Amino acid sequence: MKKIRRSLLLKYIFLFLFAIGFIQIVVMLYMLTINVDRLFKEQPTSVDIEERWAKDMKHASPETLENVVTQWHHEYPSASFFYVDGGGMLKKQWYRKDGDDLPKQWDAMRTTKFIKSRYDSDPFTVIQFIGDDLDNGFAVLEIDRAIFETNKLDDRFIIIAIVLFIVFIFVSILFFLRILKRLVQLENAMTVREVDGLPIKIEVKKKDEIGAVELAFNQMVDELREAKKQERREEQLRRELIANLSHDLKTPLTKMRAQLRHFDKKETKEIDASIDQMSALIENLMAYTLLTADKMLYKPEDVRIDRLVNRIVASWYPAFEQAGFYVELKTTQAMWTVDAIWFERIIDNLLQNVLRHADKGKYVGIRVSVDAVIIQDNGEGIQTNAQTKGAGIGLSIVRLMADKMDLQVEIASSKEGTTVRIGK
Amino acid sequence: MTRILYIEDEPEIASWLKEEMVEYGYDVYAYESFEAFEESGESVEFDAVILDIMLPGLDGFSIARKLKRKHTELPILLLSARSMLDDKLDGLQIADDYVTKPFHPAEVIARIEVLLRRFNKKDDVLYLQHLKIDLKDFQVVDMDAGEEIVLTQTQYGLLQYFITHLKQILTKEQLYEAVWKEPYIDGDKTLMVHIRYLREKIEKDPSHPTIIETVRGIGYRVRT
Repeated sequence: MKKIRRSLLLKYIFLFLFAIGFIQIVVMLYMLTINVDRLFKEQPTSVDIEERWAKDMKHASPETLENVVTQWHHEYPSASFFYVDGGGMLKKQWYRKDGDDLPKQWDAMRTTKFIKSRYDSDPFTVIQFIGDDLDNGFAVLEIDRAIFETNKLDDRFIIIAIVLFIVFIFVSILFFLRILKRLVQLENAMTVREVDGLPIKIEVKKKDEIGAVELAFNQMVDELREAKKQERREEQLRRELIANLSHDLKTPLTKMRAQLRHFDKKETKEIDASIDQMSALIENLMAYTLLTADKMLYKPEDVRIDRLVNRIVASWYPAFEQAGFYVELKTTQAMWTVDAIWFERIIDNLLQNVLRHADKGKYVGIRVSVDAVIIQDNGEGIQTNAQTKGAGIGLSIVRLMADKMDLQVEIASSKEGTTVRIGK
Repeated sequence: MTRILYIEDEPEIASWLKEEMVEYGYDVYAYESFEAFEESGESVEFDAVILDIMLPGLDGFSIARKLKRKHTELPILLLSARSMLDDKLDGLQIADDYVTKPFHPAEVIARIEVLLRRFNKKDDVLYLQHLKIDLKDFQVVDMDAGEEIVLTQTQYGLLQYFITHLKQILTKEQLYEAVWKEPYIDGDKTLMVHIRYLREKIEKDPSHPTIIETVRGIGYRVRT
């Protein structure tokens, strides 16, 4: 019941019934007021008038006629009168508007014609002999029939009807506009997205059908949010798992290194280097796993690539210096939209490769232009180098990350060296 | 003596790094977990902390957060096997630096030295060629001439930043933002001018500087 009472349908039906019924209601109300009016005012009927006139004439004489007429005129100002004497001569007229249209001499033919023309027409006409004596002649009362009827569709009624009609139209428009407004609001809420890419919840103000839609919509948003949270939890779990795996793999490597101290340093140099290489491989493998599963945290932002590359090269410089490399860095201002950590990883991997595989040339050149970062070495080139197996996964990561950030990787390699170009 | 708190659950790694640090001259307090450290009731004031991340009970991040809340001026170095990119960031918001496993003890010690300087935990005097720099009193003495070198605030700020980042190559941007505390604008000559002034005061031959080294196109560096 409660539901029905709050429904838009009920409101609409109410409005509709009102629309159909309002004219009848108004008419009924009007009739009612008229009848009440009549009840109190004692409206005369034609029969009443005829009887009274007959009675008054019966008691009158040609001499007193004047008085009677004056009395009647007082009561019915719109009535008019005339008198024809026993000889058929038109003797007198009272209050007649159209004056001389009456014949002066009334014979049988004329009288009959007059009676015929007035029978059951307007004005209502009563002919009566005075004092019931034919010799006294007759007196005629003419009165507009309008006096018996109350004004049917008078101005007042039309105005009320128009006003009510306008009110109805106005209420209808208001009703639909409000529905429309709420629908538009709903639509807006559905298209607007919050930071997390989900729609914003709507405030449910009314518990009608649209309110139910809004409620369902909010529920949907909640479910979406929950699903997204769940997804994030799973992603987090996956990252955690890989991080733990990495820990489990690297702890034994650290232990191996710890045990190396019991041996002569000269003998363990190779093992020590292998430990570092193994560690780097594990790291790359983990990164690769996360990247291919699209589970690596990615936050692109505007980054000054020249400054970032400058910092990375600065951190690599001591390693290159130790290996006897000549490091050349040339930068111009460049602003790219990338994830700084990812980009750092790309440059790290590329410089790592140069350090490990381009020892022959003892040169690394890094150039940053507005739309490209170029890393060049004078090594033996990638294809000809038999020891590039380790570089494979590093380059795969470079390619995957660059791809995700909409950067192009071009590698040109010959026996004279390798050039890697990261282009915007 | 520098006192180091070291929490590591792998006994082999713990004994190895502890041995190396003791040999270097640190006073090392090693525990296998934070709980073990708390139960020991040790109340020494530490100069630096080294934490493994994967520990039984409280992990390295949580311990770092806990310690930092109480002692904001305590440098913390994390030993991380989880060198996944996001974890590094996570660690650095709480800790001051990290070293990834498998590490070399020398690297750990070098990082600790840097941290100690950065947090003014070293009350020592630093010798740079003919310079004697008293880090406590902000005093720079030319030992050859036996005279004190008076530096302006900016010059001292620059020198101090170099000393707390010894051996590291610092980019112009890093130096400018650390000393002037404002964003670096490309082509701004202020930094170069101040480095020239500083060199004129501390270098034997300012046109061939040996203390503040220029790494062409990359930045500047001070080495011991």
